[in-house]
Amino acid sequence: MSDRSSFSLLCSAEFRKLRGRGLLPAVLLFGAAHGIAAGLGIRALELLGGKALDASGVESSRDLLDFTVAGEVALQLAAAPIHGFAMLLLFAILWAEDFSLGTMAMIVSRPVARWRVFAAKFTVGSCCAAASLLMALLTALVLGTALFGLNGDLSALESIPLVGWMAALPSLPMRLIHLLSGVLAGTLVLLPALGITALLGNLSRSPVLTLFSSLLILLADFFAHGILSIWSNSQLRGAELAEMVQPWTLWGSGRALFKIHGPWAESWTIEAASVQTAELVNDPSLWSQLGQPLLGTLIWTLLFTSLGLLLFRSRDVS
Amino acid sequence: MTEPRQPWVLETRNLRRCYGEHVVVEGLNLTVGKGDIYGFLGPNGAGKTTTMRMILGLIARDAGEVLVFGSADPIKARARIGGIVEGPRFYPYLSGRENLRIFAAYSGGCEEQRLDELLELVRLRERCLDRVSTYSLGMRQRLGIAQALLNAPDLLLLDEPSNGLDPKGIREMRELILRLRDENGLTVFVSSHVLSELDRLCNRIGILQDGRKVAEGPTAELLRDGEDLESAFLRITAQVEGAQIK
Repeated sequence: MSDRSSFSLLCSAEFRKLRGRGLLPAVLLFGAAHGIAAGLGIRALELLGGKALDASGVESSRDLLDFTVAGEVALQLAAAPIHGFAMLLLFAILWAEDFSLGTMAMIVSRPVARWRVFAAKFTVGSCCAAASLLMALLTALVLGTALFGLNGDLSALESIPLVGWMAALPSLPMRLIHLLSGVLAGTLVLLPALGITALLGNLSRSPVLTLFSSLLILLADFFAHGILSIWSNSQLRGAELAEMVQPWTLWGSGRALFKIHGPWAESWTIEAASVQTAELVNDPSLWSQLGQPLLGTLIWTLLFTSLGLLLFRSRDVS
Repeated sequence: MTEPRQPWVLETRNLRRCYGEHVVVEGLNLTVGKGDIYGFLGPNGAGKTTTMRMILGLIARDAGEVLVFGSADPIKARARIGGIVEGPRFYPYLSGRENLRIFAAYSGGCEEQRLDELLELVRLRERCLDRVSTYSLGMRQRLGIAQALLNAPDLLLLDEPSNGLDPKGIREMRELILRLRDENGLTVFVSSHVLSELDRLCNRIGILQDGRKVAEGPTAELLRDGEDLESAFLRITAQVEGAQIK
C-alpha cells in the first residue's frame, strides 16, 4: 500500500481549516473590497475631473472610462502592500498554525508522506492568492459596469501611468485577457512570499513569528532594491554591477513581472499580430520584460520553498 | 515465559535516539503480539514518549528499525496504526465532526457513516457539531480515540490516555479500550503512570528505564505472589538502580 490520501483530499483538508478559521471568506471579502475601492475611487476622481472641466468652461461629452479600467485599477491596488500583508498573514497561519496547535503531530502520524502535506499547503496558499486577486478583478468589473458602462473612449488614458496600456488596446476581449493575465502575474508575484513563509513557518513554528520575520525579509529586500537602484544611477564604482543585480531582487523581479500584463503585453500583442513567433522570441525586450522577471520570481520561490520543504520533511514533530 | 504469537504486530529492533549528547533510548527491542494490550511502563524521562514518537514517525531514529506486521515502510506502517502521543490536539474553532473529517482526509478519506459509527463508539454523537473548544478533557480524549480509529487500524498506540481524567473518565477509557480489543480485534500499545489501570487492562508489560528495556513479558509472569503491578514495577526498577549503583 502506498500513500493513501489523494492530493485533492489533502487540499480540501487545508481549505476546511482556513474556512473554519474564517480566513477564506476574509480573503475573498478583502479582495472584493479592493474591487469596490477601485470602482468608487475612479468614479470619485471622474466626478472631480468633471467639475474641474466644468469650472474651466471646456465641454467634455466623451465617456472616457469603461468597466475594464476599474478592473485594472483594482489589480493595481491588490498588488499593493496592504493586500500583500493580508496574504502574508494567511500564509503564516497556513504554514505555522498546525505546529502551534500541536495538530501537526496528528497529521504526520497518519499514512501520508510529509512532502504531500507540504505540497497541499503550497497549492492552497497559491489558490487563495489567485482567488483574492480574481475577486478584486471581478468585483471591480461588475461595479465598473454599473458605474462606467461597457464602452469608453480609452484613448485619453494614454499618458496616464499604470492604465496607459489600455489606450493602445482597442479590442475588449484582448483587454479582458490581459486583465486575467494580471491575476496570474499577481499570483506569481505572491509565490516567493508563500515560499518565505513556508521556510520561516517551519523554522519558527509560530504564526506570529512567521508573519513578522517574513515581513522583515521582504522589507530588507525592498531596501536592498532601493540601495541598488540609487547605486546603479550613481557614478560610484560597481554601478554597473548594481544595475545588473537590482532586477534580481524579490522586489525588482516581482514589480517587473506584474507589469507583464500591462505595457509588455501591449507590445507583445501588437508585435504578435504582425511578426512571427520566432522573431518575437528573439526580441531582446522579451527577456528583460518577461524572461528575467519570471525567472527571478521562480528562482526565489524555488529557493525558499525547497528550504521549507527540507525542514518540513526532516525536522522532528512534537 | 510464554511468548506471544508471531508474526508480531509491532516489533522494534535496536531502536536508538539521542538528543545531543543525551541518549534517551538505547538498543530497544520490543515485541507486541496480535490481540495484546501491551502496557509500556517507565519512570518519567525513561524514553516512553520518545519511543512512541519514533514508532509513529514523528521523530527520526538515530538507529534501529520499527516493523509493523513485518514491514519497515513507514507509510505502510502508519496505515495500520492509529495513535495519540502526548494528548490529542484539535482545531478548537471547528466542530468535533469537522476535525474528524480533516484528519480523515490525511488517511485517504472516510465515509460520513464511518464518522457516525466512530462518534457513536466514543459517545460523542450528540456533541459532534459543537466546537471542540467547548469539550471537556475527557471528551477530547474520546475524540482523540475516534481520530486514531479513522483508518480502521490494527494497532492502537495510546500515550497516557487517562491523563487528566476523573475516575469516571478513567473507567470509561478502560472500558473503551477493552471493547476495542474484544469487539474489533485491535492490538493496543498503551503507556500510563496509572499502574492500577494498566494492571486491569494489560496482558503484557514492557518496562523501560533510562532508555533501556529492563523487563518484558506477560503481566502474570512479571508479578510475584500476591504482588500488584505497582509493587512489581517498583521492585524491578529498584533492582536495576541497585545494580547500576553496584
